[in-house]
Parts: sequence; structure tokens; C-alpha cells
Amino acid sequence: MLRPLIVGILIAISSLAAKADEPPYPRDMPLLTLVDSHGDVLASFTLASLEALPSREVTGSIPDTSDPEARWSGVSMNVLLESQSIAAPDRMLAVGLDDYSDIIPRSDLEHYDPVVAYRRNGHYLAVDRYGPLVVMYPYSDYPELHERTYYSRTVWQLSELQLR
Amino acid sequence: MLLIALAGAMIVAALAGLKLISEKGDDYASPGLHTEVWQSYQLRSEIQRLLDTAHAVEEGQAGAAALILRLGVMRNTLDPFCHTRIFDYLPQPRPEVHRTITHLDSLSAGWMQRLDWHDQAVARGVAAEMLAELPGQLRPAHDLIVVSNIAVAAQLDWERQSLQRTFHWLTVTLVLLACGCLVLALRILSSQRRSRHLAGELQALNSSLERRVRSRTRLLHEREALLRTILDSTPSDVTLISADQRRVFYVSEDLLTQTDTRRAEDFHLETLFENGDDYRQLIARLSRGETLHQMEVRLAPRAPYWALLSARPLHIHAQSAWMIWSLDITRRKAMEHKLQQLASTDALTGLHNRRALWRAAVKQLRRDRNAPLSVLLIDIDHFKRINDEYGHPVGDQALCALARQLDELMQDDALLGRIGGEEFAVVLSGMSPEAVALVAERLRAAVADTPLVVNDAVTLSMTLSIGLTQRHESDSLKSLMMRADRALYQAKAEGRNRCCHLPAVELAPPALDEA
Repeated sequence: MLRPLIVGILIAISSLAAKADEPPYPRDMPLLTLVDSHGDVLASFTLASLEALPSREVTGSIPDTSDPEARWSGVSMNVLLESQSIAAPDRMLAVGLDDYSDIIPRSDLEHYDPVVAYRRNGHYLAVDRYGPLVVMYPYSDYPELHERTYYSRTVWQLSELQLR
Repeated sequence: MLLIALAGAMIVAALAGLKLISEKGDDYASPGLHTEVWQSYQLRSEIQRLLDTAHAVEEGQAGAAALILRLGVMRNTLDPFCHTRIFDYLPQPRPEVHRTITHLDSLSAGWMQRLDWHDQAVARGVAAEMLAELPGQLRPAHDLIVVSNIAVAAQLDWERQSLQRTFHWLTVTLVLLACGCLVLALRILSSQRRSRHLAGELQALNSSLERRVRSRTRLLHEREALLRTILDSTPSDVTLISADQRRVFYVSEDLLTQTDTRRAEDFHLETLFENGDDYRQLIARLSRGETLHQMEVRLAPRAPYWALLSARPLHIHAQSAWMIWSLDITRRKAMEHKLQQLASTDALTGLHNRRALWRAAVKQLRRDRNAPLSVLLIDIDHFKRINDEYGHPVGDQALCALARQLDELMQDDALLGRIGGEEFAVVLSGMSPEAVALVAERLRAAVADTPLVVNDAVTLSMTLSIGLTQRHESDSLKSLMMRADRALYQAKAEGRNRCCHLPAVELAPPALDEA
């Protein structure tokens, strides 16, 4: 009598999990482009290609929102650059879909190794929920990051990294 | 009390200040928000870009994906306004702002629901709706920017005022603390000054005290020296010794010499006394706290002498002590002895006088009331004639010669005395009446038979009348003597130169009542 119930619950959970694991955008949609100082495209990433790279998880929250702290997983910027055999540039301009942008210096990559995150607490991010990609710093590991400087570099709806 | 209250108030003020600072500090622990103005610009701009994209979709230049992305970004920009409390800071409420936000949210939500990444037809339909709806929203979006600006400015000013209030309170607290510190510092200064002043006074007191102690000490030394001089020069010898006899404060040189003691510390009171009983009696009485006056004792066992001792207990340095004066009374004793002898001796004959004889008789009686006691009364017959014939000096010599003769004739234990002009008495004890009668007769006969040569020139022959009697147990001395006198009278009456013996008889009470 219990058995069908358990099976049912398991099926429900697995279907939910399957739905949660489905990104709210096409997997093959270009999400991020790397551009050099002349405006030439160096590389382009889809969710699939990002997920193919080793992932890194940091804990933090998006500043200036009521978002509580969460686990963000994605690709470390260093890994991202290495995957394209690109040496870390002195500065990178991170640009969002809303045309917001800020410069991330190389020292941040060396000290904090921020992440290009595509999951928040295990869920993909919809475009109207700050997604699909967010630059996330490991705020909980480094309290000194709680400054306007780093808040400004936490670019949501990341679409482009311009190497300079 | 006031200072403690002040310190307490200062502590409370400091704690309150700390609490205020800590609360404000928490407010500024993380960077502030105030991004609403930027977001409102962004919203206005994203609406415009969505319109542009909708145009492109309608004209077939862009697809559903582009529209979804733009719509998503617009909705994402709108999202903070759905939650923000910034408009609460507005001095006057602007309800149209909330209407704009709600309207945009519901519109965009509907569109988002319908759109699909791959359905281009739906995208075109939605784009047409957007083109119809959104241009009318540009003006409210602009108003949102204005109102956000006012709201953020108001919030900043509110925060500024709050910060100013905080600073104001902190200033007040600091002023209070400074005042408190000033009061405390003044208090400390004044108490320091006072303590310095007090220390100075104490120093002055101390030095004056030292001066006084020095002068007191000198005075004491002087007084001690004076006392010593007085003691040294008193005719009495003085001993000043602690009651436990462990400490000798003073002892006269003479006493040290008498007890053969070299140093005063080695002086022992007991060695001064010849008789240990005297010493013990003195100690016992002094220990009872008694004062002794003129106790006669023998001192200095090596060369004893009579001394008159006075002693009293007293206190020296809170310690019980005894003061003992001793006065050498050897000469006085000798004088006394001499006086006593003078008083009891007949000056002419050297025999007992009447008083001494009586006293000796009384003593005899006291010694043994039952021993037989006999009395002889002796009178020289017709002595007046000798005086008349040869003069008084010869009479006196005759009396002396008779006295010597009688003395030689008597036994040692007999008491012989001259009791009147030519009258002698003998008291004999322990002898029977017969023996006494024989003695009397012997005396009479010896005197009658032996002429007396006076001055080698005059030869006198004298006879004696003797009355004798014994004491009856009922006799007093007076009654005894009266009976003896009667016997003598009888001897005279019977012709002189004879002994008359009246035996001891019981007294006739009325006739011879001695009272």
C-alpha cells in the first residue's frame, strides 16, 4: 500500500528535478562573448560550453537587491580565460544585457577569482531574474569585499567581457 | 556620594554614546543602496529598447529570442521597484507611481508568459501589442525617474538628519563627559592639594611631637636624676623593686654593701633579712596590697642591726612594684633599752624600783598562776636617825651598801627592789612558806650581825624589820602587798629587828576589795 505512494512521490520529485534542471533559455543560445580591445570576438559561450568547463562555487548575494545569500556555481574567470588560452588581461570590461558595465582588474582574478555563475542554489537563472549569467565574488570568504567597488563589479545579466 | 553619582552618570552617558555609535555603525557596515534613480533611468531606457526590438520583430529583423531577452531585462529592471520602500520617504505620496509599476509588471508578465523562444508568430503578435501599449508608458516611466529622484533625495536627507541627530547627541554626551572629567579633575586636584596640605600639617605635627618628646624625655631624665639624688640623700635606705622581684629599679648603696651585692640588678630582697619570717611576712602583706608602717626587723645577717621598715605597693610603667624604706634604728633601740632600764631601776641603789618590781611580780604571776609566790617587805629600823646623825649623803651610801648586801644574800631568781625611802621588797616564787621564812630570818640576822662601813670612816650597825606573807589564790597583787605591809607593821609594832609572818588567808571580800 505504501509502495505505490513512495514510487509516486519519487516520480514527482524526479520530474520536478528534471524541470528544475531545464534552463529557462535554449542551451545553445550564445550567452557570453569574449571581445579583444579592437572589438574582435575571441570566443563565444553557450550554457553547454560553460558547463563543459570545471565549475567553481562561491557564496554571496547580488548587491542592491533583497536577494538573500546563496550558493552560486559557474566557471571561474581564470578557468574561462585559460580555456581559450588567453592570458589574464590587466583589465576586463564586464558588460550586461542592460548595457551596464564595470571594469574588473587582474588583481581581482588573482586575489578573489570571481565566478561567471549560471546557477543560484542549483537553479538556472531566468533573464528576468538577473540571469542568465552573473559575475559573482566570493563575498562570504572575503568580508573586505563588502564595498561599493566590488558591488559595482558584480555585474548581472552578463553578456560580454571586453579584454583590455 | 555626589562624585559616585557623577561617575555613574558619566559611565551611563558613555555607554549610551557607545550604543548609539554601534547602532549607527551597523547601519553603515555595508554600502548603502540608493540605486533607485539609476534603476528608474534604466527602466525608462529598457522600455525604449523593448519598443525598438518590438519594431524590429514586427519588421522581421529580429526573432522571438531577442524579444524575450529584452523583455526579461526590462522585467528585471522593474523588479526592484516592486519591492522597494523608497517611496515611503516621499514628503507627499505619489500613488500614480505605484500604478505605473503595477501596470508595467502585469503587462510584461502577460507577455513573458505567452512568448516562446522558438515561436516567431506569437512573438510578432506580442510585439504588436507592445507597440500599441508601451509608447503610452514612456511618460509615466519618466515620472518614475523624477519621483525616484525626489524619494532618494528625501531618504538621503532623512539619513543626514538622523546622522546629524546622532552627532548632536554624541556632542552632548561628549560635552557631559568632558564636564564630568573636568569636575573629577578639579576634585582630584583639590584633594591632591588638600592631601599635600595635610601631609605638611602632619609633618609639622610630627616634628613638633618629636620636639616635645625630646623635651619630655630630657625632663624625665632630669626628674629621674633628681629622684635619684633625693633617694641617695635620704637618711633611709630605699629599695624599689618590681613585685615579681625580677627587676630592681633602685637600691641604696648601703643595702648593696650590707648584702655584699655588687650591682643593683643582682640584689635579692630576701638576703637583706636576718629572719626569713620577717621577709615572708613583708612579702605576704605587700602582695595583699597593704601598706606597712614602721615594722621593726633585723636586717643584714652578716652584721645584724635593728631597722624600721615601711613599705607600700605602687605602679611603675604599669608594672606592680614595691617601695621599701628601711631606717637603721640601732641607736634608737639602744636608747630605748637605756630608757627602759632607767625607768625600772632605782637610781640610787641600782635595784629594781617599785614599778619594775611590781611588773616582774605580775609577770611571775602570769607565767604560773598556781606557783607559790611570797613577798618580803624590809624596812630599816630607825633609818631617820642615820640621816639626822651623819647627813643624807651617808644615809644614801648606807642604803647602797645595804642594797649590795641584800643582793649578795639573795638567790639569783629572787626579785629584789627598793620601793621607798628605806623600804625594800623581795618577791620569791616556787618556795614554801617555811623556806621563805628562813630566807627572811637569814637576811635579818646577816644585816644585824654585820656592821656597815661607809666611806671607810663611819661604821653603822643596822637592824631590819621584815614582814612576809604568801599569796593566796584569791589574792590580787595589791591585796598581797597590803598583807605584807600589815606583817611589816606588826614586826615594827612587836619591837623591830624581827620577822613577822602573816600566812596566806582568803580575803574578806568587803574589807579588802581591791577595786
